[in-house]
Amino acid sequence: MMKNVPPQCDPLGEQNQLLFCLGLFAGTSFTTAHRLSVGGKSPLTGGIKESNVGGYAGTLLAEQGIKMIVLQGLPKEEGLWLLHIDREGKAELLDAAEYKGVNNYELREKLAGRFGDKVATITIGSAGELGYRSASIHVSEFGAGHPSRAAARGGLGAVMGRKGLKAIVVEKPAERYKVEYADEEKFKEVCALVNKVIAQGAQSDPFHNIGTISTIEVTGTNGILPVDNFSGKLFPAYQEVGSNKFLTNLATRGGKNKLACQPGCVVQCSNCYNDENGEYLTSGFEYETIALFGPNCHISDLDSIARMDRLCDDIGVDTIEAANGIAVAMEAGKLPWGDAEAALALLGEMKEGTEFGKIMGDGCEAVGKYLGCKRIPAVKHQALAGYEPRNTKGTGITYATSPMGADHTAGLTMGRAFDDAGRAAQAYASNKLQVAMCIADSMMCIFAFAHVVPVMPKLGDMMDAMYGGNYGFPRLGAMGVKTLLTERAYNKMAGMTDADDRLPEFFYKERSVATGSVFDINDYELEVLFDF
Amino acid sequence: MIYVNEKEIPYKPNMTLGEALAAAGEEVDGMTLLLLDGKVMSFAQHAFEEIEDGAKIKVLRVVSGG
Repeated sequence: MMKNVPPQCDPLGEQNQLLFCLGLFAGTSFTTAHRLSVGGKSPLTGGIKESNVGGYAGTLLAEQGIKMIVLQGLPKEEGLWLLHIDREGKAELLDAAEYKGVNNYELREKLAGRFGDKVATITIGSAGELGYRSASIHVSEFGAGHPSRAAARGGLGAVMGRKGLKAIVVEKPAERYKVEYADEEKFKEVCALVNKVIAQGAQSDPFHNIGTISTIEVTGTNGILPVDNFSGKLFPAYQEVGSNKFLTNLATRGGKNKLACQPGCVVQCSNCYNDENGEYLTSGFEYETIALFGPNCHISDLDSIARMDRLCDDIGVDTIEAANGIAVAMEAGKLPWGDAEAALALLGEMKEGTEFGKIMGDGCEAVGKYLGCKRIPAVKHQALAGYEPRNTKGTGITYATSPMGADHTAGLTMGRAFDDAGRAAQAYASNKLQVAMCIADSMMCIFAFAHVVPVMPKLGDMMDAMYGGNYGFPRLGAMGVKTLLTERAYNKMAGMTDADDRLPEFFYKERSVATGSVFDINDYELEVLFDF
Repeated sequence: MIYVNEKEIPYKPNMTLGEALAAAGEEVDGMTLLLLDGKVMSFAQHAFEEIEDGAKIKVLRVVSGG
């Protein structure tokens, strides 16, 4: 990015690039090593974007021996294409005009019909084709193949659409690429140990035992769950969208949890959620989507939220951005609080491409500005995730300062400082976690990374055994710091300033009703956060 | 007898979740979830929820966001 994409370029123009990049341990037996990192200049934030996604494509790309796919330039003529990588490793661009306007679920079905249901697919729906700044890129999950894993944040689906690429189809290769190691024996020995530690940790992890929805049980009681457009209130009916409802619905409708979105994952946090008739509705049904379409829109019907998730996955938009857009529209009076059917209808406008649908597609901030809403929960034009920053202030610091915009995966500090709603150690926790998440995103799923803590230096040993040298863990620490500083430098060259590293004003001025807390982290603390 | 993470703990009448966890030496806080016979209990519930003889409790610790 620093070398090849001018920071001030138009994200939807010729100079931007879209990168699909594998992790450092791709091709090995390291658990969750096959996540896909999608990068480029974000049409939403105007800064650098790394959007990380699970699913099956990373596995097959690694088996093909492909480390990275780079999309450059723009098509010379209008059209749509698909990139097909066959079992012999031959890559070919094929005409995809017949898939114009086809959304992710139907598209996956058509591609599986044409190339076989064992392929992995990376696709965009109509939102990507229409250039929505919240458009996501969808990767098929391992097994069922549903296109429910999303590189959701930052609108990279619009970059893919503007480059005319509707899909990437990856076949399992006839011959699996053999990874080269500096010291294969050592790598396998250390990797087996780390895999075992992660698997043991996962046994007592709510994400494995229930799913990420289990976070509701924590945030619903401590004021971290966002309610009514980050009003700071509590949501008494939080259990209606919580774990027990979810588990009961799975058990009575033939749904499943403890699913792996990619082979070899020992955390297995994914799920398949069916409707009241036992028919498949959605999968990868996650906390963020449930918190933000649920309590943050005053909606307490889990099935309606699942339908919203399905619709967003189908047209290919970020659920965090869309849900915040709905909440802002509710606050502005465009639809009533808690009206799930009206919310679904508004989401449908994105699919139809109405005037307001296009504004919705450009994200929460666009909706707020259009409707004149004063309380817009966004940083660097990107909507906040499902954590109230007055009551997890370290996460608020991450939202404010992350080069990605308001991104919880960049450093969620909940439960890690002395007191989530207090000030002590919040900046420290955010700083350390932001470095750690840069390390994690380069090699594994952050949910697995959480269990590596007892043996963290072993990751350095794995790096040495794979790539050579005798650097140990400091190599990874330096890599995390360098990543953050490089991303921040890119954003600065793109025109961002310290003023972009702030939360919206209302978090500083309005007290959380649940705790009485305001976001009282001062500007100086934010400005020196990355003075390593 | 009750079971906390498969560890056997003697049952007492009117025993609460919190008492069972204390007897098992399990420390819980706001980042802990409890599975009581497969049903999820939040930290806020553990002090009041009474358990029955034979109850199976699993202690889960939230380690990351979702």
